[in-house]
Amino acid sequence: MTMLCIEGLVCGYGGSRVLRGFDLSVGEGESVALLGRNGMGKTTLLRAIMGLIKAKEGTIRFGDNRIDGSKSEVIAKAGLAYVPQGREIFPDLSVEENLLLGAMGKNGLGAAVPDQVFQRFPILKERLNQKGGTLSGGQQQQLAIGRALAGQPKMLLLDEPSEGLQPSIVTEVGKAMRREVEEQGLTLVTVEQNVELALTIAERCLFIENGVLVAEASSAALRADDSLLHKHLAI
Amino acid sequence: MDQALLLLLDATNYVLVIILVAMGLVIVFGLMRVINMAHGELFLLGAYTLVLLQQAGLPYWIGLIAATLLVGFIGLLMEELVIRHIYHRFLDTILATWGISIAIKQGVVLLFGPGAQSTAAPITAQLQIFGASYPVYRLFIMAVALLVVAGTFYLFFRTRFGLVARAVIANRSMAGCLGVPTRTFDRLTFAYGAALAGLAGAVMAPIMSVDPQMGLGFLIPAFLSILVGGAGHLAGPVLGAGLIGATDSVTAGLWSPVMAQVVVFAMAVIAIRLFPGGLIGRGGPR
Repeated sequence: MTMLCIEGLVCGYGGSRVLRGFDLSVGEGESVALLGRNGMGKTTLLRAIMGLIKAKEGTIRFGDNRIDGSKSEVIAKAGLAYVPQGREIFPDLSVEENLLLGAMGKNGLGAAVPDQVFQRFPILKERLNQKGGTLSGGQQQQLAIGRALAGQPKMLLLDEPSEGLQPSIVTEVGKAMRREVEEQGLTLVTVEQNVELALTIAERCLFIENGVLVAEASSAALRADDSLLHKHLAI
Repeated sequence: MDQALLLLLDATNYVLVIILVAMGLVIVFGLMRVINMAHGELFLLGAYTLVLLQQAGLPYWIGLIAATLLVGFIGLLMEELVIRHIYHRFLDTILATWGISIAIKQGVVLLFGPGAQSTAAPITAQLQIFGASYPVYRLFIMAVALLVVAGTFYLFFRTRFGLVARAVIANRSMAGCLGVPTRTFDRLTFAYGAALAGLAGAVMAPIMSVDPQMGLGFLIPAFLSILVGGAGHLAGPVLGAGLIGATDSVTAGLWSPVMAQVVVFAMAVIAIRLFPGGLIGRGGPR
């Protein structure tokens, strides 16, 4: 069953068009990665899905509902969670408060942080009272993902999770996300520059170039034959 | 010695009154980046509501509660009809709220005339302190101000509502992405700030001349407190009000009210020069 369906999406900032007729379909429980060079529209796509920028043309459907034109909060309540590039945790709030906000935003002021978050990222349990801003980069990334998972979303949009992290932490985050997909049935869309991480997290990789989808392949096929990677990522 | 203690009591009273008036202004400015030039007129409406209800024969306490609620509701209307269209347009918010301020003030002049109204304090007792008599009602005002400060801090730093409200301030679009209904928090926050102005007006009415200009006298020190203390944290304006109010009333007591103004403004200029973002807090408006 298709969970997210985007057709002919055009959007951009001011008069510019970053996405020029973008199509994407993601099935329930699927994990896909969006690959492409800088400035090709990957982050813009996630921002458009979350309602942070308006679509100029085209439609975005989540489940049975059209969400293009909806407010971010409505989209979040429908079951979409977002971990932006740069993480955007609340640096002055404690780890616990950051996680609580993820739960309360979605489920109301009485909500609690589900245990699942701490099972996935045990370090967060140890740092509950520490301010978010004092965590290391890797811990902040885990906090940002934990905050998104605290709302128990159906689908998670993850923007550049490897940015600025040590390779060992990247591997750890990748494994945690993979488990989330396999064990909890989370649907995941990851934007990534780190090919190794993308291939670990996702079953299917999509290549975006100048605002349109240009190619796609399964992760297994890409591991066997990396010519697509060379062609679209210039590596 | 007695003289000094009385001066201290007067200074404390003035500081707390400024904090009471400034608190609503700070919440609206600190959280929503809106400079509400009509805050003084919300104060005014609070005072007139009390006067009217008392003239209608209702007890003071009902007037106090009604003034708070009514002005809170007017704040809600103001947010819905005007302010929400101009968030992020900093200059426009100043112009628009200034316009609202003029409209309210002239409306009051049309309805009640430019003259002063007066109303009686519910407590007329005098307390003998340090050999002098001090009105108990002034102590009541101080208690109300302390309660408002404590209640506001409790609301914003100890409750889940406050946590979400602070998240909306810190990163509005991210809060929205977590599912927080940011519009609801805008409305409630603005209405809360307005209600505090109404409460302040009603509390101050019995010891002031209730006339259409009454909001102005407190608005300037309230803004100064925010500038000096900083709007990044709720504690900033409280500290700012402490400095401004204490300097003003001590200088006025020992020297003259005119010199007090000079000293207060000189102090504000120096403080802003040394701490452009305020004594507490990171930055203020961006």
